[in-house]
Amino acid sequence: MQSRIVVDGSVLCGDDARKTFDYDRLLAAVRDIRDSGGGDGSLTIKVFVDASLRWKLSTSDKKKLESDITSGLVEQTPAGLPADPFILRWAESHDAIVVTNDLFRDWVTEFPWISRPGSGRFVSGLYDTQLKKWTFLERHAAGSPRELSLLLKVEHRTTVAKSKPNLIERFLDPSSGKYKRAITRMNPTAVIFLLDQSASMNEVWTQQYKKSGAVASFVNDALYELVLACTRGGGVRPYVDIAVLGYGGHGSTGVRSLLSGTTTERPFLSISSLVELARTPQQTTHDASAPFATWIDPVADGATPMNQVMAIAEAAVSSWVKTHDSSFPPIIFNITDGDSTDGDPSESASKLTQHATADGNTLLFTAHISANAKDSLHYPEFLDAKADALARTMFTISSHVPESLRLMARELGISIPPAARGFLYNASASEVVGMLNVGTAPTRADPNS
Amino acid sequence: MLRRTSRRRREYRRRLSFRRKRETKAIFDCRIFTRARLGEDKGTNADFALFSHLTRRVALADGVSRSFHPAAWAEFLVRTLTESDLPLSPSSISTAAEQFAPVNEADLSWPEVALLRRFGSQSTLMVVEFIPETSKEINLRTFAIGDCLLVRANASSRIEEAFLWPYTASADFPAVPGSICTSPPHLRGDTHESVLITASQGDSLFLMTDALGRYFARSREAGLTLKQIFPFLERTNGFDSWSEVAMATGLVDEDDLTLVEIRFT
Repeated sequence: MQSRIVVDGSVLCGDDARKTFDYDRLLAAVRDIRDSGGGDGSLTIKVFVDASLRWKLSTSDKKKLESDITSGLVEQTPAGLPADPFILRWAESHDAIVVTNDLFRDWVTEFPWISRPGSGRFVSGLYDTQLKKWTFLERHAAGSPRELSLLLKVEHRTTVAKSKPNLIERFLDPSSGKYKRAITRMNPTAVIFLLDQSASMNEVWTQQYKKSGAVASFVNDALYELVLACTRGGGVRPYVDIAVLGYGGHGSTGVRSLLSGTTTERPFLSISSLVELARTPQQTTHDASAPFATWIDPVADGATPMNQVMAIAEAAVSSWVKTHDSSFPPIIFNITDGDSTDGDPSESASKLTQHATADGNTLLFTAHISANAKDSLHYPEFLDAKADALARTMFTISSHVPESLRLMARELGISIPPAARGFLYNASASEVVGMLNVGTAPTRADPNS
Repeated sequence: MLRRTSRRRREYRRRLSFRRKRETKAIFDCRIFTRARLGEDKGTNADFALFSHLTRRVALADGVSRSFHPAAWAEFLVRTLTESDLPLSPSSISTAAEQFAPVNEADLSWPEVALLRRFGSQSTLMVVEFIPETSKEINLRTFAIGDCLLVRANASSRIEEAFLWPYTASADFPAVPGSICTSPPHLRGDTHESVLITASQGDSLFLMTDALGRYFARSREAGLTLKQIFPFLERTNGFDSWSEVAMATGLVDEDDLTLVEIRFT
């Protein structure tokens, strides 16, 4: 039986007697929880910590925590928000046991199952500071409290009514209350496509296309749909600024701005101008299908300077947000089939997503494409220990999917879990198209569409 | 030929005149509040509403932004159904759609051609028709396709009825409602509603498009009164400033907004 446990990391780190925080207490807790599960790999442990924990730890513990956050072993909740609703919602949606020494009194109304006697869903821990060992016992037991190892043999289901969505969804959204600005001419948004054009993109991906051809086709499709979404009353309104950066090769030519008239220093083009650059086939009024347009050609050559393209995108976003503080924040799609050849892109990606408008931080969605669907990942909330280093890096640099986009994705028939990141690994062609549709959905956000 | 047309017109006028004489008991006041979404000019407002004393109909349409020239189509629909005696039925809608001015694609840009061929022009619609009175009561026939909303309040501004078609609560918004399209099939989505409503002297009717409807439903669920929900009703020129703040603060979704108020005085 697959069992799941969600750990309130910040609380387990705390030593109430000494009023100090020790990261090793949390590591010991995870170890002992894993032991309680029998160590047969059927146990999933999810650890949440709040953003303030790192400031309460010693320097060495802080480094350990940051390393575990980077590797995806620990999930940090957004600054300024309590971790409690993230923990409880995750437990609710995954039928998981909550391990904490907190009573969550403020959340009983929204999550009534946490105080239900005998539910076996709520576990507290006693830490032996001499042995450095935890004992986990059921809280709100119907009779004698059961040990965690026994509770893990019971199947847990949230049989009570689900929590009130409005309140919880608000807290669950990593960008609480954000990513909701309507896109108007006064407040346009920005969309950037980062296309891997390295030599490996020459490989065949689908039956019809090489990777480079398919990706160019998807971006052309996305640009075409953006143009239609911005067409109102006889003209194309400047609702979106577009940039398309291709990366493949070496040195100064490793990154190129692919829309004519733009440069890597000034890569943005208003969608109103983009329409003029389109290559359209001969239109015939008798043709039942809609006319089509293209902008991007397939290219596959050289190395994969992902770090370089992130830095160029960061420079562009940095100046864009300065003049668009009231806008829906920029969204960046990075479509690639491999690892960066110019160093770890984590830092440049982190800088990129730090730029924000009043409506939220820049979003970075990553689509790693592969003809091999083995070990594929779709909008994961966390990575398990089996995930390879490349997947970990890409997972970590990808943004959480905001609640507003998650709801739009649902309308498109794409299910994205509450704490998921905008990340596809070993993705198929249709999954990449789906991600582009989800990410550009705010531009089509007309309730009557 | 001319005489025949003239006779038909005279007959139409006679019938309208007869109907008006029978309905002199009820006097209707109509106010229309409308605006484009925040940051957009009036020209982008794809909502359109009209009240006709001649046909005793009020109609409200919300053009679907992501279709071909939705504002023009919404206005055409509203004018067609308020300025003519077309019965309120799906077949009339099809007739109206077929009468909508054909477009020469050669005059259009490629995105417009793409929109026209893919979506046509689309709009939601709500029409309320006042049925000739037979008693002190005022009988109304409604016809709706899509998510325009209707509310009836009494003389004390107490909400008596609220029709949130096709929804039942604020949480149902936004969905993909039905619409009327210029290209076949003209009715998209099985959502047309035709109901009879009885109102009394002193009552008010409110018709609204989806964004205001969602706000109304949410506010009503929170227990607010009509005066609290629409405070601008009792202020002169209060709608623009209220809606500006309401959209900027997220109280009302950013969209074109229209509210039609009809009072039976």
